[in-house]
Amino acid sequence: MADLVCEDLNMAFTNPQNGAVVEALKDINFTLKKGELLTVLGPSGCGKTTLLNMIAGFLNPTSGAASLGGHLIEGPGLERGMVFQQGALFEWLPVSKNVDFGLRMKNTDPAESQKLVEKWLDIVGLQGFGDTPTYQLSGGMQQRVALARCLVNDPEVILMDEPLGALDALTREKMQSLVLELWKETGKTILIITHSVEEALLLGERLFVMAPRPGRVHKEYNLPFAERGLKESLRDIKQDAAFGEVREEILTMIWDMEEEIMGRG
Amino acid sequence: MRKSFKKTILASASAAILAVSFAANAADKVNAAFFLEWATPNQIAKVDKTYDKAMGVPVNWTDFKTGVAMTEAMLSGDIDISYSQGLAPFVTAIQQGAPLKMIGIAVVYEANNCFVKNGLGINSSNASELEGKTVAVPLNTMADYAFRRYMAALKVDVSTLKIVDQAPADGAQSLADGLVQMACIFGGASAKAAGEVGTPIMTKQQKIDNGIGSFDVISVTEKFATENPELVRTFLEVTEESNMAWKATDAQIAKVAKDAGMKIETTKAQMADFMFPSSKDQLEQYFSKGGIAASAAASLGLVFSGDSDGSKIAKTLDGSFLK
Amino acid sequence: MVEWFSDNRANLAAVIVLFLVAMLIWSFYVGRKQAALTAKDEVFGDPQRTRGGWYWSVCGVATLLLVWFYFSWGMGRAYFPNAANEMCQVAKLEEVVSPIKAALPIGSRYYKSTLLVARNSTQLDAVQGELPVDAFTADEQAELNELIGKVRSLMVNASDPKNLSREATGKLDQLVFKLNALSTELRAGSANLSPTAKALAQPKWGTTHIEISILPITARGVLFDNVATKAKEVATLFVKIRNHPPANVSVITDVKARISAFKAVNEIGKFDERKTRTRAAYIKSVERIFRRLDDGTIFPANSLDGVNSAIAGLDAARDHARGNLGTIQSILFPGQGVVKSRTQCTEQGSARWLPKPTDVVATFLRLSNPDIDGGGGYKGIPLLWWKWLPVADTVGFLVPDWIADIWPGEYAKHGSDATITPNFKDKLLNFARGKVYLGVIPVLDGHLWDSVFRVLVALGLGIFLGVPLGLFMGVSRFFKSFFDPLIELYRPVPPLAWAPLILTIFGITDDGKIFLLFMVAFAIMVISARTGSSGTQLSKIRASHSLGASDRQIMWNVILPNALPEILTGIRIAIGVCWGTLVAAEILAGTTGVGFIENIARTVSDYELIWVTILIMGLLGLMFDLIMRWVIEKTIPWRGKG
Repeated sequence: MADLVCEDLNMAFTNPQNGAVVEALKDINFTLKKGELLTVLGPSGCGKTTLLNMIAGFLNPTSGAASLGGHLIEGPGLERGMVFQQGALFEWLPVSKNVDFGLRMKNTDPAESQKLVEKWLDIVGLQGFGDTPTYQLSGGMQQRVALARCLVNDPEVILMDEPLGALDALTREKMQSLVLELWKETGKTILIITHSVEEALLLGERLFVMAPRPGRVHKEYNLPFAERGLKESLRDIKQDAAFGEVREEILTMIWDMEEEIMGRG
Repeated sequence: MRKSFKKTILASASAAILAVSFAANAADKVNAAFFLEWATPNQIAKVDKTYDKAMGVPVNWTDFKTGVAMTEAMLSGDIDISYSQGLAPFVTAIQQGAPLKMIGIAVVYEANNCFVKNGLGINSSNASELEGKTVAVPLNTMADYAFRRYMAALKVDVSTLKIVDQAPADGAQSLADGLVQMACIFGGASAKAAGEVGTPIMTKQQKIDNGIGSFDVISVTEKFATENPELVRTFLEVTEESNMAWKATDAQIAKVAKDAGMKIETTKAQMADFMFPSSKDQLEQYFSKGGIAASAAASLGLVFSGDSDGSKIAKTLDGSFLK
Repeated sequence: MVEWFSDNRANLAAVIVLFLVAMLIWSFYVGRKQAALTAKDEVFGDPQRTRGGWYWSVCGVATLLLVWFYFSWGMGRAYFPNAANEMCQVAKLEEVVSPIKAALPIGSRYYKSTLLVARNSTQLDAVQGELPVDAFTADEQAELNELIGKVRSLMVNASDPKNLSREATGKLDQLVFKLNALSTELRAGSANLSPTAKALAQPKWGTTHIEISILPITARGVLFDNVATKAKEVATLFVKIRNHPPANVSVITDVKARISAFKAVNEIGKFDERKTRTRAAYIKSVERIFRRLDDGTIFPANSLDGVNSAIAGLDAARDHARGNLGTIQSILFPGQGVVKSRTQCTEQGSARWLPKPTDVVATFLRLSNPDIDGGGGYKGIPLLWWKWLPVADTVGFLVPDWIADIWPGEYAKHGSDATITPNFKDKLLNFARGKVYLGVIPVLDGHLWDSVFRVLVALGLGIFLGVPLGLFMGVSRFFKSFFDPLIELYRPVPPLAWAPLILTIFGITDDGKIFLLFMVAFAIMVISARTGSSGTQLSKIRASHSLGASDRQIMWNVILPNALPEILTGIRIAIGVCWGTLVAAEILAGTTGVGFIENIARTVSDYELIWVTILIMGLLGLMFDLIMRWVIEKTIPWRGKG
């Protein structure tokens, strides 16, 4: 059972100028079972990226603990793959060298790596682009490379930090389908941070709406749209009345939060 | 608008050209060059404005760092008379075709020393042991000239030496550090430093016996000499008078030291080695046919550029203003 | 071959100049055409717009070379190879008549006599005003005033035309006649004249260290040379003419007597020391002016009018005889023309310090000739060549001598039969000192190589040590804070400021010079590597952490390639600065190198050599920069596209 478990996660930053303590996260508790897809939504400053960084191992919690499959998370690791908003590709390497980066770091046999790279490039729809320099790729293709680079290491959890935020609407929709397909085919646990309510609803099997000051999970949803998205067209789902209802509810919720922040600020 | 602009440019340009061509002829002031830290009796006349009074025109004195710079300034027309230009830069200037003449001898002094590092056991009697050694020499200076004369007199083959071009201060340092086995030095402070760790390859007497000496010259542009012979003559006259009036009294030394920018003690020590020949001596010994000036200039020319045509340099020596 | 080029450099220059003009016109034409084609779709300030346009490079280079050819007189020499010699002959005439001209309005606005009268009057007034009343008695003061009045009367007498002696008038008339004869000779032309064989055998303009040959090589030149020779006699006559009005004879005797009397009174010693000195100085100042006035150099103003107009006539005749030479000179020879000094003719103006391009090439070829005995190289060392290096030298350098010292046993001593049998310890010492034969290898040699070697080694060390330090400083708080004060303190110090220390620490061999250059390169490399590494995006580092990379792997595989653009730019800057520091470095203890050549050339004002070294350094710098640009293009194509 490779579940992702967060127990009483607390994160407090001290402002170096005035010494004020900001509670970025307070008492976060949840368990993400293997193969679940969770999207996290919230206004800016609600700590969703802090949460992701903690699970990725880039930050250590002030108190509490996160563990994966019973192992305490103490630093970044191959079992938790990351996909960043801008791809964070290595522009001095061609596509295939970007994808097999993780394999090279652990000295995998080159022939084996090449097979894996070809397989994954095929899956993300980039067959034949192995020798292309990454700086010549479009934004959507760069994110495909980033996905392949992450998946080639066979991680247990995939953490995505606003992976589709910088893409145009059409590319975004294609990529959303791709994510769902990959989720289905690989059965990986996926955690996606996003600021798009639509995206969170479409992709999230579970959805957390987070609230700021202190950062906490405000409301949790279990949604059917991701399952449906595997079979139906995403555009149809968006037209669905149930979809529209939840969307409006969450939008109001976030709107109120923003209002509150503005009022207090 | 445009036309008048062009006209203005033309007018001012031609005005500038006229100004340049006329300024060259009007001797309403005389520009003289001298060295700081090089004490000479005529500095009293310089401070007292005796030159200005005697010549009837103001004399502007500009100090220079090197004799080569004096040549450059004379060529560009900024300087008319150089007092105490080194013989080496003068001869080089003549070989480059500069229109200058030597009209007098400013200072006669002992040739610059080449110091052999103490402890090597090399002196003038076994100088051939220098072969294969490293020598610091400020190339194309009077010290370089002296070095080559010493080596010729001591029958040392210069081509077997490793010659390093170093300024005197650096050469003294290298000698102290044992990086070079011999260093040829000019200048008081550096020579003193080199004397701490080395010994001159030739004594004063040996230098005199071999006829190795140094002197600084008074040089002037040919143009200035042609157009203002009476000013040149008065300049030399005042110089001669101040040389004659030199008694090395404390008051005199204090005055010279102040103008030369040196301490009284250093001035005293420096001037003790200097000789200021009278006009008569200059005419008889230096400017006579085959005199010291001509032969020294010729051998200097030979040393520096392999050009042995001394007669050419001799033509630029003109003692007539001393009479 | 080289000889042929050297002798025909003027003709070659003529061809080159024509070619350059053609290139200039052609490239300008192409450039304008291209500009017209693309003007519509371009926006001013668009960086893409600066790409291409090689024809403008051709245009720029051609312009530069033509300007060089023009101001160095290279263009003039190319088409009028005899012009300088002819100008020299004209300059000879100018030189010999200059003493006459200097005394006349034609040469210096005023008559010399007018200037002398003005100057001496002012001085007499000043002397009169400064009369020290406490040093002289009232009687003496009166007498001194009278004495000064008498001295003044010398000028008055000399300025009166009535007093001009018949002898002087006669001499002046004779002078005018001779000058007019010279004018006539000049106007008669050079039809029957021809240069001597000796003159024609002289080396061509600029081919030897004598810039311009002095004997006339054209008929026109011979004419001027002849006239100049005769004019010299005339000038000698002129300088000797004196105006001694009879009235002055008695005055001179009187003044002399009075001055002697004053001196005699002074010498008795009846005055105190201070007074004696004041009196002597005052009389001296009067005597000095008197001595300038008794030599008869002042003439009545109009007496010299004849000479003045004769000289003007001579000038006109000179311009006539010069013919088209005057026009050629004013168009093709910018500056003050050729000046004849005592022994030679020299170019004046920009040509004095700007050698002709072809001469610079000739000097460069002479320097690059590896045959030292044949006059090549500089100070006994070739510019760029190779030599055999004994391997033992390197061994001797690398193996320290003390290895032999610590070997057990003693060094050999000479035996009773005066023979020496070396033991192993001796052989070891010889080995450590490189006194064995281990074969030879060819290595590069020469001034140029030495300079390049110093720059490259310094640069290599700077990169090797500076880049890792800079990379760590960009990512580690310890490295940044620990080394920051150190680097920032030494970086702003100009390289030459280290010179005195470097000499005593490293000595006179290459290592000191290399260290100086290294100091420069190191700072630049540290700064650029640091900027590069600290500019790495956090997400890239986080991504590589997630991909299982260790810290060292991230350093090598992420931070280094990410900093590569800055590092390569840093190398490019460092190369340039190193070349700039080379001259300073090679001043320390000059033995070889391009900077050494320049330093020596400076002491002898050898402008040709100075320009050769400047051009060598410029071209080498350019070459390195082009290499770096190519490397940057090849290794970091993603720059500006990431």
